[in-house]
Amino acid sequence: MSRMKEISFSKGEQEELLQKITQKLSGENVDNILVFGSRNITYLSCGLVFPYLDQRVIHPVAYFYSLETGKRVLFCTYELADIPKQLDWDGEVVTYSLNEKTPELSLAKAAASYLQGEIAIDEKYTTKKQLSALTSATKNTNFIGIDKTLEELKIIKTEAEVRLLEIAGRMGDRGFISALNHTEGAALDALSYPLWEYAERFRVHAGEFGGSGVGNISVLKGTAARELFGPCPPRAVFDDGEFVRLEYSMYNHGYWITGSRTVYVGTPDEEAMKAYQENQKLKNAALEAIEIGKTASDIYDAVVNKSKSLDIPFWQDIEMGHGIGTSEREGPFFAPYDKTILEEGMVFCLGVYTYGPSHELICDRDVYHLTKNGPELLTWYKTYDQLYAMFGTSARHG
Amino acid sequence: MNNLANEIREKINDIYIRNGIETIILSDLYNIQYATGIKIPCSHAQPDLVMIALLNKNDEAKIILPEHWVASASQTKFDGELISYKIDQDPFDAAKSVLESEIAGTNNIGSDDDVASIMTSRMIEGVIKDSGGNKLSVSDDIMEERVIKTKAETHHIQSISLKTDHAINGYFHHLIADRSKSSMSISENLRIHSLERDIEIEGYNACSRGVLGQSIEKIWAYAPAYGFASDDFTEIGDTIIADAMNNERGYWSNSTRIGIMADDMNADQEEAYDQLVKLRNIVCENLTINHAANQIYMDIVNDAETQNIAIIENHRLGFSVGVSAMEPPFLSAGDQTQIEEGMIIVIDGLIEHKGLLYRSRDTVVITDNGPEILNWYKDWREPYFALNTI
Repeated sequence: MSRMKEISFSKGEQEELLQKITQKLSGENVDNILVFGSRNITYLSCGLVFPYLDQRVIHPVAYFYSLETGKRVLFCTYELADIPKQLDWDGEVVTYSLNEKTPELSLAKAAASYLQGEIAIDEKYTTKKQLSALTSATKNTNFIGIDKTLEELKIIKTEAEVRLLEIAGRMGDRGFISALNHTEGAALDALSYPLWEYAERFRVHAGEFGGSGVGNISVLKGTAARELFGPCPPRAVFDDGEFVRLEYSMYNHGYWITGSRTVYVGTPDEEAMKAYQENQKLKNAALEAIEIGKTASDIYDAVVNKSKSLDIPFWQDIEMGHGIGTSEREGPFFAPYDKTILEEGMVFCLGVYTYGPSHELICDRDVYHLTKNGPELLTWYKTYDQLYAMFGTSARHG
Repeated sequence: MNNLANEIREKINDIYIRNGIETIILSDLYNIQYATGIKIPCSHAQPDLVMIALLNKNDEAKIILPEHWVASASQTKFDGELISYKIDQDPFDAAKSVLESEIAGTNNIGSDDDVASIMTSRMIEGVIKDSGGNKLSVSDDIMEERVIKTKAETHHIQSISLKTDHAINGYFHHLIADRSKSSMSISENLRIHSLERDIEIEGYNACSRGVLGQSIEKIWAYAPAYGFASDDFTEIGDTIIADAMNNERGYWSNSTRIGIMADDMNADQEEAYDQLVKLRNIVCENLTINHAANQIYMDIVNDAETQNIAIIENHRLGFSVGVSAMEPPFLSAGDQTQIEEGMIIVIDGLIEHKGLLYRSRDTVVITDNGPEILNWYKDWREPYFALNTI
């Protein structure tokens, strides 16, 4: 279990990842790379994480890596400048001031002296405005897209990345179980236990168990759970005899997992039990289908076939899983369009949305690591192969 | 259509008229939310799922989005058409294909693709070009509209910023100076007290945190646990910097306040807080209409220097909030935006004193008579003082 104690990369693991990155980029004749996407910054820097970069709560951040010189440089504003040090990162940090008309221009001016010749950039995350600023601030530069190479790199995890994801899975599971534990006993106390508290208890405990942050949080119950996401009215409370589903994502040191867990309030009747068992049947069909060499779409097709043979309908407007890593959503996608060949070392989440008696969506999403022996469960802390019944009384649980 | 939607619709109409266009393509998620009210919280973290808005001067708006987001979008007050794509196609290709069919035959098309990713921008440019249309950039026009808040927007921002101040005070009320609290516990409780004030639960940056003691030497302490903080504990007399970002009806507050774990400040805290109060006054005095943000910034810097206030060199002293938690205009050396009536500014007061960073944020609306503070649940001429055990 000691491997579960080290929740961030060791220096050796960072070096191993950097070596992998360098090898791949060198093979593609990349001399210099500049990235703006949060997922790419975390990946290429081997662990730097900035607050809510995707939501643009901070000014743009860029990471530059020169394979020619070995130089690794981070460009950011003053308020973020000590984050690399906090994370024990030893590259160069260049702080830019908002002296130009836009933050993009300010960053470009600060980065200009580092940029020359052909520079690979992540076109999926760099804005056109940022590219224009870089082009105007530099001379003799040529920016080329590198997204496909980065995706190929990121899709196969190193052993250390798998560990960080496994730890994130455990943090998420413990967060979820703690939310259940707090809610049990108080779920039907409409005066003091609102629905939002269940979701918030997840966030709180994911943090208490060492998580770095939470992304998506959506809690749905009863007929509202017919939708994937939805607002949780501030005064909504639990009702007996309903499914409750929590959708979440969270991360550990830049490594993200996503989860979806469905429980039942009160004693489930036969119909509810059957609905949950059917969900597990289709999920197991997907798991049985997963093997190295198949395509991601093969897995989707296998579930479609099983659904037909067992007469268990499922929600087919959403893929049944996808890769995870330095983002909460990346390839491969278990969807009809994705022909990515499954390989050893991929890590993904998997869960099928089936229907409850009132057409509510039921899902039980786990995280797996694909090994030679098939998918290995990373969210092993507690299994949810049986419907979890959350009983409620008026007891007070702090 | 509600008041907010009507007000925004009028603003978008101005863009049509100014640019001589009848169609606008929006691909920036915040612009889409601004124009249509549709907000999918996870969309910023899942950029492979493309969402595009097609606004039409004489017709209802259309949103191109993945099928599994349709229900969420339907729960908003958007009254246009939702055109979804299925998972039998790559999301990017699917969105492109819908866009191609929707803009066929349109001549002059406005687009905000300057602020989209290069890949999305290239796709939109290509689709317009292939359809024989002419693209005009409207990203600056949209931002010019966004920076001046409408009546309903100001109302929403005032409501959420006041609630956030209330929530921070609500939690501070529980602090007892001689009973130690961890920064994690403070962070959690700031969140809980926000939710207890009927603020809708949301993930990502709808978060809070408490930074305390010596850790206030860093702005984003406890990396990478920005929303959870850490396990350091307060001691009697510590400073707590409490941050909270909250969202209500699609509009954000972004607030920071100071609590002291004692019934009075020590000399250093008093000196630092006094500087923060003076800085707020200086910003408010200078924050007047018809002056450029960068000029105001320089004036503030000069005044601060005169009064020996230790502001951070080149750190911006303000920003706005709206459909996003940080947006232009910025009170910085570079931003040339004219400050106008109806703008919302979060005054980002930050000073350094003996190696520690003290921060307090006030949200103001710009009026003819200067800035009007929107979020004072209590008067912040002094910080919050915790009680001792009683």
